[in-house]
Amino acid sequence: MALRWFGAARRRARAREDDTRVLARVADGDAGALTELYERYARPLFAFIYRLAGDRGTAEEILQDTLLAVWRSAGTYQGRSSVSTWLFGVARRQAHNRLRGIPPPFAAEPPDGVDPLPGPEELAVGDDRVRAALARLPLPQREVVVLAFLDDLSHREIAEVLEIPVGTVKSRLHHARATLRGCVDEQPS
Amino acid sequence: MNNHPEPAEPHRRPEAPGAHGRPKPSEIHGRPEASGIHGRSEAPEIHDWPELREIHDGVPPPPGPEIVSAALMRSALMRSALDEAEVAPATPRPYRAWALLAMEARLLHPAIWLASALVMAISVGFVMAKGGYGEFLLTLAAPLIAMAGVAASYGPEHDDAFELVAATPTSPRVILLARLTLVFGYDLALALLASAALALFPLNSAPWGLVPLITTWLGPMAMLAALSLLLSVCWNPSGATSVGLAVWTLYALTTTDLPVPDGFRDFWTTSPATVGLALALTLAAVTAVGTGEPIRRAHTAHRP
Repeated sequence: MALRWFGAARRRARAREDDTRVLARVADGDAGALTELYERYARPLFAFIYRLAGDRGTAEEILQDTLLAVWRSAGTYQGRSSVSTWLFGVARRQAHNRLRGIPPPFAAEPPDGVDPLPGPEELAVGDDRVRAALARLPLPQREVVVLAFLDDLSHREIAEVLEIPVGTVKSRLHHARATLRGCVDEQPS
Repeated sequence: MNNHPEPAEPHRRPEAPGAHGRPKPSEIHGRPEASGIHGRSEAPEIHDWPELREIHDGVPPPPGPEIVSAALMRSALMRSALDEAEVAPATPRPYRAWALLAMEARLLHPAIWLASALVMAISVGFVMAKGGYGEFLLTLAAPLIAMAGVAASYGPEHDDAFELVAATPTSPRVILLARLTLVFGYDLALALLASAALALFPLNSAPWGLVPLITTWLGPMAMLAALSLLLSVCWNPSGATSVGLAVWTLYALTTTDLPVPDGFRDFWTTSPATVGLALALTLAAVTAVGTGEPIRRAHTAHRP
């Protein structure tokens, strides 16, 4: 058990070093390294942006903004956080930049009743339910919820990405849950 | 407040992601060994959030690597647009310059303005109260505030918007010049005001001539600010401030009776040579900041 844990920890440390090396190559102007970095993080980054933006077109625009920002400012990475945390921070700032002042694209009430075992044909309905739920959250709460559930980040990692205290992460989660359950009106946190 | 106590050890989600054809978070991240980006989870339980149970469903696949090419193309086009803008500006240059200065002033940290004004006000207040130290104090204070302000005005270390600014079509050289104009101009205005105040209202001290007072600090101020700017661009703001302080201490010694080589004392005067050297250092900094594309630091801090 302990050996497996140490093995996994070593693999993760190696992966982080690899990421750092790739980002350093991006900083040196290696376009291939940017592609390599993108291939590593395309799915989690795009999923995060898609859930924040609510539609594919906007998400792709924000993703391109993010890649441009990474390309032009890779040299500013200080190594204080992991590369993945840094990338999520860049994506989040680009999303804020583009989504500022834009209302959520899908703000319908969620359908009643939650089917515990949705079949494949119901996945689209499930997606609508998620989009409706996320659209009811203010952006600061939405990004915490998405990072926690979609990207599986710990409270500390979310705090690093958003540059807020861990306590604020927890309170935003609390407010988000209250908002979704209709206990309170939407409120900024 | 927290309704989601963090478990003492990593837990399994009650409903295993991956069911119903949806990818597991670890699969999304491409790290089979990890349950998250960093391989651990203290996130709240998904079953407490029925609205988000299908959060992994319906996320479309990311665009292919062609989006990287598109981003690189956009970067190149931005640079090309900059060159064209220099040939045929869409709006009058004075208006664009003013708009840029106004925007950059908003991005600079308020501490730069406050600290400079405070140091200068204390120096002038001290001279007016005690008298006799006007030349000495201004000679020390003016270069110090210019050096610290200029060092802190540019670079990712002190600029939260650096990465956003880097993604705009404005050249980093233009941004550096705009910030230098703002910070050095502000410090210059402060020092001129202080000199004028001491020249016009000597109070407890003997009157100073305005021009002789200005010549005591102008050259050293320009030299030290230019040196810290170059170091800040080529190295980092903290290093530039440290070196600037060390040089400033040596410079301060030239105003005492301690033996200092004559050459060094002459180096910190207002003369065509010092002003010329300050301009050369500034030019070198502006050239260095725009070298290469994208913006590169000479020494990135994250190399393994």
